[in-house]
Amino acid sequence: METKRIRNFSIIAHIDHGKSTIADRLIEKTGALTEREMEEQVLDSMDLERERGITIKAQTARLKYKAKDGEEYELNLIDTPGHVDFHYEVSRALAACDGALLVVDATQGVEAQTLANVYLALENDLEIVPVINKIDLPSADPERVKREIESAVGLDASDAVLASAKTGEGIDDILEAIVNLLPPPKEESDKPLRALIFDSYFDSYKGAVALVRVMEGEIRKNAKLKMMATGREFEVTEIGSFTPAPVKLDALYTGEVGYIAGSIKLVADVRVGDTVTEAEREATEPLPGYRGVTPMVFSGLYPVDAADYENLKDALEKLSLNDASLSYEPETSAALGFGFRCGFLGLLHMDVIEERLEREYNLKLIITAPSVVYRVTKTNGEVLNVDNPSKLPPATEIAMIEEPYVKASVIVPKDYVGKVMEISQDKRGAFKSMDYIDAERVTITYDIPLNEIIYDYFDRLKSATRGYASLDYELSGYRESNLVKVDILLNGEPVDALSAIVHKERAASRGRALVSKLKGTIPQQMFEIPIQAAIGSKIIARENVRARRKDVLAKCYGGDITRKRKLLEKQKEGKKRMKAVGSVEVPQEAFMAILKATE
Amino acid sequence: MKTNWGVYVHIPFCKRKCDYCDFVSFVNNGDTVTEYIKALALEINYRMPKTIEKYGKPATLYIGGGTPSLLAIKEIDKIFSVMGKYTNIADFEEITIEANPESVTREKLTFYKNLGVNRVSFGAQSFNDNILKRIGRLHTAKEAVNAVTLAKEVGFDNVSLDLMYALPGEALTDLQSNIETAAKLEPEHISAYCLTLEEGTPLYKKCNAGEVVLPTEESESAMYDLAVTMLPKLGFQRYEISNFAKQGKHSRHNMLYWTDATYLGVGLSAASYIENERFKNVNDLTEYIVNPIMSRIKEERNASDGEFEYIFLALRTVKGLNKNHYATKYGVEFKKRYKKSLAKLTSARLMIEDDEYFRLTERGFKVSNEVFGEFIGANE
Repeated sequence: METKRIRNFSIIAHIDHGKSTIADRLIEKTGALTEREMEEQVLDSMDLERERGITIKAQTARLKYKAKDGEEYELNLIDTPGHVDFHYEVSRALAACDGALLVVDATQGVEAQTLANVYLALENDLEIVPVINKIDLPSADPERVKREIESAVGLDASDAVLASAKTGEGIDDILEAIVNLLPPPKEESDKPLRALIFDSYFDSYKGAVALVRVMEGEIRKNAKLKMMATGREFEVTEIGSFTPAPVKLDALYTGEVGYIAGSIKLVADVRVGDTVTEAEREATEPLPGYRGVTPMVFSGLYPVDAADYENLKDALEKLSLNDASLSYEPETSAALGFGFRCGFLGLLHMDVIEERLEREYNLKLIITAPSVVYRVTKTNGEVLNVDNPSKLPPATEIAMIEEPYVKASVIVPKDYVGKVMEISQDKRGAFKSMDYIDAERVTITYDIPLNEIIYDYFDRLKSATRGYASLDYELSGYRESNLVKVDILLNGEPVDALSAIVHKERAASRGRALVSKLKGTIPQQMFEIPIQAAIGSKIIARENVRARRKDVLAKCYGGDITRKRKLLEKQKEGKKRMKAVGSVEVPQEAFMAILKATE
Repeated sequence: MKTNWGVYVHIPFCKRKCDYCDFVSFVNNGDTVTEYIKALALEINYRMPKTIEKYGKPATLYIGGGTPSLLAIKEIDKIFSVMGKYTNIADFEEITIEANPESVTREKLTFYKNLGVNRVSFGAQSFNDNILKRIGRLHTAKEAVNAVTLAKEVGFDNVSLDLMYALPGEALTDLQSNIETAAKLEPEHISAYCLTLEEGTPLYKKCNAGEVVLPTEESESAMYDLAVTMLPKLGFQRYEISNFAKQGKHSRHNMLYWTDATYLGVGLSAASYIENERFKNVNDLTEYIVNPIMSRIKEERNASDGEFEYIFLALRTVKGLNKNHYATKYGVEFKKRYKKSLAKLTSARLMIEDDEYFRLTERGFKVSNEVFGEFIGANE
């Protein structure tokens, strides 16, 4: 295909604004799949993604489209992950495009997350065509949404396509807009190869597979290639594109999008953002924007049944084959035994992994409250990265603790500005800016410790703004903070997995909140259980779970023992999800109590 | 060798079903009862000779229900005469019949006595008329007092009373006066049960609808404490979680259940324990009447189910689990096999160990379900 008849684009949209359904219609319309193959929302392939209505792994589709000018075009739709946890992945997927469709719900308007991705697209010099979706709904207000796009995003919305993915209206117009308004890739076929890896996945036959956009030069089968960031060389064994089903090709030319495989064992060796070049004729410089994967939050994962340790290890190995952003290493907890410290891009990523482990691998897990990575400078000058509160050195050895901050952007109707500021201040946020998107809506920006975002920040925003607030954040750096470790003692024994690092001024109230939350979570047992929060040896809060008062099965009806045994077994079954910590049975939720403890 | 074993006979009829009851029992009509007694006789004829052949003559006979005292004299007579074909009635060490205060008469009690019954167990439940009404009992406190007095007059020197507590609207003081009233009647044995609210019973529905109010968990707990401290002071020594008796007057039949002994149950829904296997007769009255011999079903249990039953039954008794008996039966020391659980339970003072036994402490009894739970799937 001639470069000038290629269009590489992605779709930018907020969750639920209809990205996947529009993608479905485009695929359907261009006949890339037969009707039988056409599943609803084909691009979101994992069950979990479909259930949650979000895309975790980006996928692509090459569409053949015969335009009204009589020419056939190759449209490469590059799907982007739809969650703030995957900021970097989104930026690389956008870098593989030349243009983007900005899909906005005609009944909702622009949201913070959409805006963040639009800015990413603009940073990557993408041409953007607005699409106003769901115009079939009675409450649709395309004119208001157009004004909003102009004021909030600063785009000319006069060319905006009005569409309804549900009814199919406007889908032809979208295809024409892609051809006519989005630019083709630059013609750079003479140069040495530079291809951007924007996603990867693991295939049990092909090994690690890279999804690439050829920026310059071309890739042919059996070529010897090199990944510039890792220095790894490999021979191309297969080239292809997705329709979305994979189709083998002989080559990928400048401007094209497709996949390459080359018996690479680990997905971790195929890094998103890396540049692929020729081993013999290396490009002088890699493409800009590469960054290593940096997990933002860390949690301990422990099997409820210690015998499942090996199974958990195997499962993590398998999941990480396909998810380079998941990191894990063995960890031992005095309370929970053998498990793994896992790094995630964010809380959603963590939830998804946990659910997959439980659902696909049938594991019962205890997952500890997520922690950010603290940078600790010891009095002897040594600097540690601490991703587990229980690993924090004693206070006397600490010279300084720094914690990660994020730039958080919140979009809300103007009436809620006060509420948002109140919550953000309470979360130790530093006010940065406030901008009116239009007469009704405002973007408020704060610098906030990531730790506070992980806690209930977004939940509180949502409930204080009746669900109107939308949030986007990105890491902005480390800052020194006055932090202390709060330990929790159950029955007098410290439980390492329940320790938390909190701001000193909040320590007492957080300690009280945590202890009271735990009291509500840990069921009555055979003996009284004191729950204490302590900083060092100083107890800052205490509650007791009273002993179960009485639990007696009265009568043996005429010697019917089986019935009695079954009752006892049923009672015991209810405890299966609990972990014995010392002599205390602790339910799974207790380890997450700190996230839900409201002061 | 003579085995210590017993026979249970179930009489599944009541004049009215109590509101809290989910046991297999029907409001009787004459024809069905006659049919049932016929079927029962058939089952006794079929099972007794075989069991006696294996284990020798049984030591105890327990006629429970339902309301056995509701049966006409000739029906009870029929049961005894069939039973008498296989063993001399006088050879039973203990023969118990359950009776409700409203259905016994001097005539019936005298008849039981003459048949050889030596123990009567009355379902008194409470001596508070309002509470009795609330749980759907048909008798009054006065009738219960009269019935016990009558039994004594007729010559029974082993009378048991069932008491229930934590009944709707019951206060701690009600229970106290119940126990006092019961003790004044000088029975030899008292069973004190906490009400278990069973799903699907009329009482369950009434509670959900808010028509009756059960005592709070706190007062239920206080009632338990009251019962287990008051009864021994009145001369009734506790020998099992819910059972109290004057010296030497514990129920020999009920002890069989807790000591891994053999028992044969006949009649609708009756349970048997023979050669480490448990059996249960069907719950369907028509099915039983049509074919009483084929109505017994072996229960699906594996080795660890059986072991767990052994443990929690033994631990229900005040004496506790006999270490030698356990080791002989299972070929391993109890203490070794449940090392972790026992360490936890003894350090929490819920269990104690002496030379011969492991047993629950007072506190252990009070949370016995939890304690038993520690032995599920815990063998090492």
